[in-house]
Amino acid sequence: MKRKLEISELIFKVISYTLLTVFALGCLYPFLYAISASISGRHAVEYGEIVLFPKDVQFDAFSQMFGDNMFWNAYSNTLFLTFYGTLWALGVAILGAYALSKKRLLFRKFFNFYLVFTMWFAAGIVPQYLNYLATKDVFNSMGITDDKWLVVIAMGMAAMNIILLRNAFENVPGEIEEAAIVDGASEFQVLQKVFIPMSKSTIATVALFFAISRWNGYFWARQMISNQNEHPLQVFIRLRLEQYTDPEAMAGWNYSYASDSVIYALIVCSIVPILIIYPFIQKYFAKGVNVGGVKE
Amino acid sequence: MAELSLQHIDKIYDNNVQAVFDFNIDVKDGELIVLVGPSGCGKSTTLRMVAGLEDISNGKLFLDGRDITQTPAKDRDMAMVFQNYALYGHMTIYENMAFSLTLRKEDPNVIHKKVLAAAEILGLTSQLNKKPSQLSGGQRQRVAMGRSIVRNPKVFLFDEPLSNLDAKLRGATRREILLLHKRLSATMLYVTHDQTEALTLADRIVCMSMGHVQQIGTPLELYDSPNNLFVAGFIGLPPMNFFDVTFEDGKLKGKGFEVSLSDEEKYTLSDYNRQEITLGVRPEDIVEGGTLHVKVFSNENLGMNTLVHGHMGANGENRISAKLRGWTDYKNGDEAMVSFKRKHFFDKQTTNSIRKGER
Repeated sequence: MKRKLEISELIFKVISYTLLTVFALGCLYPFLYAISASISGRHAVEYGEIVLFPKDVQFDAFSQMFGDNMFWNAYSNTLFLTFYGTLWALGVAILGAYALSKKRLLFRKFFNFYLVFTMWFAAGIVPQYLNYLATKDVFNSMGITDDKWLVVIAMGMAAMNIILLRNAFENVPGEIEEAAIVDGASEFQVLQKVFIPMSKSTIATVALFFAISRWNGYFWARQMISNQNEHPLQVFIRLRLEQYTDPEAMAGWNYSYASDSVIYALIVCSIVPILIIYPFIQKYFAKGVNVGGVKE
Repeated sequence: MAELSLQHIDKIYDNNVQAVFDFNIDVKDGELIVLVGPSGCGKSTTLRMVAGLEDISNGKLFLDGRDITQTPAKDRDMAMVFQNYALYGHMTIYENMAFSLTLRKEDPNVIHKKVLAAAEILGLTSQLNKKPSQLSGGQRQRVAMGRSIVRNPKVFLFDEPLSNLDAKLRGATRREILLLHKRLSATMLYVTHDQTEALTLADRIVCMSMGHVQQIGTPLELYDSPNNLFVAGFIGLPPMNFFDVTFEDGKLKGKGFEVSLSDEEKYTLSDYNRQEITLGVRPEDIVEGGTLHVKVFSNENLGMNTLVHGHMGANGENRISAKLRGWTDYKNGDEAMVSFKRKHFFDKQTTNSIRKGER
């Protein structure tokens, strides 16, 4: 028989569900608005007639955007930064977290404290900037001129993600590591064949964090990449935004769609890949990779 | 062929706590040695030192005459079965069993053959594509054993492999381990706190307490002639009865009871005249009929035997447990007359066993 809810429980549930629904709609609305605005007619966009649904549907803003070589160039730069940036940062994080998870690591407590300290007292952009300059010096001495690599390499460290991974590695039972060692695995094989597969869900989560931050990365790309051809999507959007909201530059705009629609179309295109990735990563979020391995 | 030799091995942790003191044993090829003792006696630490999972603080470890004291665990060619299975949860049973061979880059066809052969021995053939989580406790422990078998290692190490199984499964798996040992004729080191496992499996038992080896011998030696009070109390279930007695006028005089001795027993105790010693009697060495009065407070029928608990002596000063033959039906408060078929004597000071002419 189903238990009857008590009145206080009922009130709590109603309030929680209402708040969560409002929050979810609040998150969803800007995205739906961007889609509607990107495919609505010029008049509806310029006079603020769009509330939720599109008006005078047209796809010319997308056509213009797809016809822009700079857009595709920025898109490929973003893919480059996201792919290599995630790979590099994940590699650094996994190796760092594995070492920090081992009790036999010399000065382990100090290193862990050192890592967490950078989260408590973030020193702003100055150390990061100095890090970029130092990396740039190394790159220059090596003859690497592509600034994209600079953003990939110098952004490789993320204390929070290393801590997440360290905790996941610490949760792998010690006996399983010992079993692998007795089975003949080297330290690297233990990491590669036991720890990484057993921490798949955390690694997927951290990879997603890295990927999103690289995909949406704007500030350092803008600061460090001087060549316009190497700018990623977010910097490109910002440049277009500056251009399309400048009344002087837009004085001669005479298309059937608003200049804002192009910006919205750009935003929609920049969000879509992340939306596509989510469902693929989500399956790894399910816990229980280690179920049954050891008696608990 | 695998002969293992542990010579003067100590384990001292960084905080200066010593877990193992001067451990010595020569394990013959194909021998099954069981390390037994209560929790914290250093048996698992010793096994882990042999496996290479713990550093050896002092002493030497030899495998087939080769000094492997400093050899890393992965190069010792030993396989270990852990108490909590330690299976790789993300791999199938097949992959778990093939893991060590895959690491050595053996030919996949050879790996396949070896895994199938091991699975056949352990009755796991139909489970090979499953994940550990889909198996029962007993099956998982068999997978852990299978993982060891496929490697054909020089030495098998078992760290309390049956502790997590229920009583019925424990018995069945114990028999499987025994069969496996007979079949492979492999050198095995087995750690347990369960004396039934020790007595049924071992060629020789090492009984440990507080990091010290108390006795090394065959199961019968440990049961029949325990070296000291600890071994006597630890081996045997129900445990041995102990009484404080004085050897006087050719008799043992306890609190409220007297036991007469044979000539041989008198000779054994000849150096202890008028001295207090500890008398040990196994419950199964107590028989009905005799001159000792026991006031019964519990009568547990086990089928072939009956476990009778009571108090002995004029005022019931001595607690006693007897495993009597057949079916008895004593009620609470009944009096039983018993005698001791066999006795063990221990020095009160040293707790060592008193043997003929020894002091």
